[in-house]
Amino acid sequence: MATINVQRPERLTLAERLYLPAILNGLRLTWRHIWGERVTLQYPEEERQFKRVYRGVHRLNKDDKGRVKCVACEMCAASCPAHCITIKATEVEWPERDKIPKIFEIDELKCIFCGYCVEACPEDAIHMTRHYHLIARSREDMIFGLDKLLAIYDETKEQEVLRGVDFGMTHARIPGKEAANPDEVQKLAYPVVGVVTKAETQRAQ
Amino acid sequence: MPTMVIDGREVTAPPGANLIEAAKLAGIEIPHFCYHPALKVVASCRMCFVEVTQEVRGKPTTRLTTACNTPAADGMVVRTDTQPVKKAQNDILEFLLINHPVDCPVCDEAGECKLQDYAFAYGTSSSRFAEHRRFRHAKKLGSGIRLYTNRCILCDRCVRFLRDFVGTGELSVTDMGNGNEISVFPGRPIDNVLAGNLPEICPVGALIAEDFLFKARVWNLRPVDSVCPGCSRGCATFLDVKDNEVQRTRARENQAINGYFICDDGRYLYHVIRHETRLEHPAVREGDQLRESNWDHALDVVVSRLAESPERVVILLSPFLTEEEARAGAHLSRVLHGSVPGHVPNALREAPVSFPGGFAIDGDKAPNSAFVQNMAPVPLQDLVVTKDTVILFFNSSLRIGSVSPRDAEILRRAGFVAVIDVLWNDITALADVVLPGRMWAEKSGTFSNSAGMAQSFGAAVLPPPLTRDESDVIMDLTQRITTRISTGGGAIP
Repeated sequence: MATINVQRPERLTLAERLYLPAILNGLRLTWRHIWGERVTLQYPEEERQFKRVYRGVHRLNKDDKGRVKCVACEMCAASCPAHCITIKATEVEWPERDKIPKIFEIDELKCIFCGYCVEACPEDAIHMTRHYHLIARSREDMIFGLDKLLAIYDETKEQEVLRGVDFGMTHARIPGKEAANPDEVQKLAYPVVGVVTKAETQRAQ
Repeated sequence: MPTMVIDGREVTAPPGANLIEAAKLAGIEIPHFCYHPALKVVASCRMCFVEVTQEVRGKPTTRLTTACNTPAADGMVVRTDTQPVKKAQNDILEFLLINHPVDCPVCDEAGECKLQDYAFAYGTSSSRFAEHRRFRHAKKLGSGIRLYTNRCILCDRCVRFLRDFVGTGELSVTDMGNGNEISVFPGRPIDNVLAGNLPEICPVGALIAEDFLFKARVWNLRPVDSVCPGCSRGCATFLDVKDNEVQRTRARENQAINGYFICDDGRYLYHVIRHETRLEHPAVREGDQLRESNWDHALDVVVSRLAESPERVVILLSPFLTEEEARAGAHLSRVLHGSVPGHVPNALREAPVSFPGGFAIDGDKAPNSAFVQNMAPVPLQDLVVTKDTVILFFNSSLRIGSVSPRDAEILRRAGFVAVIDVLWNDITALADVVLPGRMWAEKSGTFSNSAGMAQSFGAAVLPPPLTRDESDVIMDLTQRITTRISTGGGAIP
């Protein structure tokens, strides 16, 4: 049979046996915090302010004409690890594009708020806001549709939020429209035809 | 049989094969846009450059050449991975991408696009082109085909397909130089029954089928091997499925039957699966109208009528049934009265069509006529049908009007008609019991085409909940009838 030697604790000192010094020590900490800086927030009257890159509820952006910016390419759905995005496309006859989402649904309960959809979007149409209030009365209500996601954009239009550029992506590239800042082109994940950066020209030579 | 070395592998190619085909035999892919095995070779895209070492005037000479128009020859040494080849592929892609909009996110071809795949595999991620890119609007070419002119790389596969294979030649390359584009003649849109193949032939997203426009991204589709039930030709197809719905039909290569193509009739036939006239529940006649019922009740009504006087029962099979169902139907007929079932010949017949490229469409618009006629040799018109006759008709026809008015008149004479069908049609209207069956996309089975070639197919989508597989219904009926015999519940001798 194996033998295990166990180290017994040494005998307690007199101070330890009294317990009083330890209690007083604990009370001193409590006393210090009573007069120190307050960390508790009176939620919901008070709310915590998060950094710009906080990944909260999604929003679907609108273009300068107030229309949905999304082109229903399903890159977000393809990159989504939780499979919480459902998109059905439809055709429109706008001069600059012909595909928009008819259905765009994010199941906020399935969502793990990783931000991959923001990173994947080639049109910078989906952002994540700093809103973290996700309240609904049923599971169905937690599936946010096109109207709700666009309404969140209207609410948070002024807010500085997590954007695709935070992942190194630049803004949309619609046919006929060039990148605003040529220096940003290098960061693009796919070839850009028609815009040459200085660095690329040097490399080519 | 020329024997050569491709990338260090010895290959023996069939006579007349080009280097792309020879390399394919060795498992080496040579990228190409304009080459298609069913079309004439033009070597216009220049993507298939390879390095060939061959003896020219007694001296071994190495040169870059296009693989598609170089026939495989004895003693050739072909390299597909040298620096000059890679440089050529890279440069060609840079040229092809000069005017290409790279709008992959909104392009339906993305995911199965050769340009996308090759740009990823052989291209670079930048372009040196600093001029203004050409911009062209999309245009409708007719027959549900749209040309996104911007995306076109002018491989002219579509032009050759319509000119040489189909023989109609609606498309041509118009204008010159930078103005080059694919067009139809004014007032002469694409109008032929093979037009649906154009989006499949197009190596990029220039030709797009309006039927599939913006419906799904291709990486979300699940292809299922199927057989077209549109005619007795039995073309091999893929049914592309997403969300339990068939999103489109594509041709599946079968050199013995359809080559690389299918006709538009078969391509768009999948819409019948979710048609509004789809039969979705059993119905039993009460008075002069059919009332919705359940399977147990409907089958009980059928079995009691069948058992009353089995010798007067006529089992009818339609040429839309699979081989397995026809066999089961014949078995049921033997159990009932020891004779073979009859068949209702398909009334939808057109003149057979064939094309210069070798593709043919059969005139008989039912998939399994030959086999069903073999299992059930007597046509309905040769059977005695009186007021006392009880008819059990396995129809499951995908097309309205597949039973001729004369046969329908004979059916109307019978005392009792039970029909298994998939759509509400003129036959279900005269039936006393209607049982909902399943379509070819919802079950597995086998069709034999007019040449006697049997092809199996699998289920692609889930059927409507209250429908049942035809062979399952036949088994159930057989079991119910034999139970009646063993318990003495019926008049079966």
